[in-house]
Amino acid sequence: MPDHVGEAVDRLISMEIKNRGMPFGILQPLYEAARKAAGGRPLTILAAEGLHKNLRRGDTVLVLTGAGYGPTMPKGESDGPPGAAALARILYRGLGAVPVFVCEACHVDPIVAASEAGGLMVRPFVQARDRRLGAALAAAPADQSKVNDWVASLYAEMKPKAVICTERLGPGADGVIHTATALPLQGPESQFDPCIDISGVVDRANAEGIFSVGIGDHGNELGFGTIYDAVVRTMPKGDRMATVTRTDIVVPAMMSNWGCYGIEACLAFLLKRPELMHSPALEERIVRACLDAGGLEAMFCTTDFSVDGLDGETSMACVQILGNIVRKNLEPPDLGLTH
Amino acid sequence: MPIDEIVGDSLDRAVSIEMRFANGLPRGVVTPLYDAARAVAGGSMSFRAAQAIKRQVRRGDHVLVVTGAGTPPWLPKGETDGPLGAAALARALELGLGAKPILLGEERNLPSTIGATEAAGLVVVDEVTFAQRNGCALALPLPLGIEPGQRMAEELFARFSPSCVAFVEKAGPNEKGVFHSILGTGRQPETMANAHLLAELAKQRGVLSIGIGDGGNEIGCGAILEAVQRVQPFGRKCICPCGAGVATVSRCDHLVFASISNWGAYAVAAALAGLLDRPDVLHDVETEQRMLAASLAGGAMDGAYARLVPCVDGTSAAVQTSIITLLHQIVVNGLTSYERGF
Repeated sequence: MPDHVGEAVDRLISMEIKNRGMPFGILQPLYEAARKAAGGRPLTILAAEGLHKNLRRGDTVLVLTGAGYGPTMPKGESDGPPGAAALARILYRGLGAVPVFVCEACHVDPIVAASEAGGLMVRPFVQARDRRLGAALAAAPADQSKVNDWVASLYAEMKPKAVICTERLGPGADGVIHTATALPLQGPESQFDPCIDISGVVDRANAEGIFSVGIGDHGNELGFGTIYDAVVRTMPKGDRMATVTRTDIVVPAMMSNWGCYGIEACLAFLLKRPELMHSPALEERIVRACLDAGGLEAMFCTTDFSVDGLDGETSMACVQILGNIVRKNLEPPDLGLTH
Repeated sequence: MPIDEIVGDSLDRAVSIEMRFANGLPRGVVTPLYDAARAVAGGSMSFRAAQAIKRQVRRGDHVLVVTGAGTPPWLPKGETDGPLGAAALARALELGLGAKPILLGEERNLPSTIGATEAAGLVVVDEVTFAQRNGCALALPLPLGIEPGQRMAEELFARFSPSCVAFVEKAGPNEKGVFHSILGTGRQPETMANAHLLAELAKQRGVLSIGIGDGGNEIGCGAILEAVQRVQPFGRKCICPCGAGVATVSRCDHLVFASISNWGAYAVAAALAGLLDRPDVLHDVETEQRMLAASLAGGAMDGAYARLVPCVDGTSAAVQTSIITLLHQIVVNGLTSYERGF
């Protein structure tokens, strides 16, 4: 029964609307590979079911996000934080979970702005956990050699029951993180500000059997290791940019935000609470807050109301349709036989 | 550079997202029927239909756009699915190709169709004016019954020599010649326009025909007859005495299958806009709102709620405008090539 919703949602969020200057004609092959890897059912409903099953009230869920680096996007981009914020919002309101944004220090401002625009305050972890005041945030150390200890302390303190990655880049086969166009973001060749690899957070979840979801739009994002071969086959310079980091479910989407919104819609459906799906008006608030806080649109690197080369109005339309899918599928028929 | 078929597939997918009630109306049917229709088309349905239209329709050509679903007593002046799609297609053909659109439907369905067409910016005029100017449309009623329908079809072809006939949410008969709702109730040919005779005549005369549907009982869906019989709850067996199911045998050169027929027509308009490198050939959000309001003013009801509410097949006005926003973005980005340099 729920697959009617998953099918409609997947179809919406996996439509390719890219401009021709970027890798093109890539989303369908990635989506089909991910769906096959997950056993054939729609991906957004699988991710939502996994989160629903694994998160009890008061459980911590880690939400990793943040892509884009200086000099082009010093505080990251507008794809990532809005999706993370929307998912954190429904996990908090719908499941009573404690969302913790996990990111790099450079990406903190847009993430906090997006979350708070969505109505979810970002507080110290203990306040979020013990007094249910909202979400929390953990920023990785600026020194890569300290990341392993940081991951260990994160797990010791927060004991997460699920890990979600959205638009969070992961290392390739050579251990180096790359952009979607296969430019290195680490090492001597990098022409960008420093980038810290936090894939250890996901590796630890996988080692402990903690449920994990990866959402992305090109194949260099954490989780796409699950369909590594498809990414290598599909993407230009795929052998360089594809990440090896796997998650239980990987959701390829037009933009990562839409993947998150799709999972959010499926959760609203599973909970029979359509009002939990954020509205188009709230979508505008969240995206504008992210942009205003420095999370730039990633094609033109501006604060224009847009995400990944799509008008902000298009994301509002996406959210409108998602809300309608949820409401319709929970709505009994009205007048009976009129046809 | 015009759009390619990858963009066409995105348009198809945008308009085949199923949004139905929790029960009562058939669910889980759009994806399998979309898959069947795409297999028949051998590619993007809207893209290939628009390609054919662009190839066949010349400036000044007459095109027939047929619509009107929903029947008395429940939906006495038809429903909101159909008129808007027909109006959008007529507008796209006129604006994009300089064609002269003639809207056709049962008398009862014309007020909403004319309303939607005028809201789309095409004034509906008398036949003399229609011959003298562009930027307008003609609307003519189709008679009920088979024999009058056949005479009318021949007369229309003789008078207008159309280069294309398009059907939007227009009922077609099953193998026994009986029309049906998607829920299996029968409608006798004497109560319907028998517009499938236009499709048959188009076939005989080698005139391009496009069928746009969302269930399998609409003209054009004969191309996926077997899939409709398999997938639709009343596909193989209806609840009327004919017992032969709701699946129509009526075929067109191109079938565009969508979640809501209006949206299928919008996808064709969008594909045409992309092929012509003219995004404005697809109508905008404000026009969509005006069209919906005008079709309601003409008496068309939402087919799922059977009320005069601003909805289409149970989906809200905001969803209609959201679909238009998505289609526009797909076309515009499909026409854009921007290398960001990193």
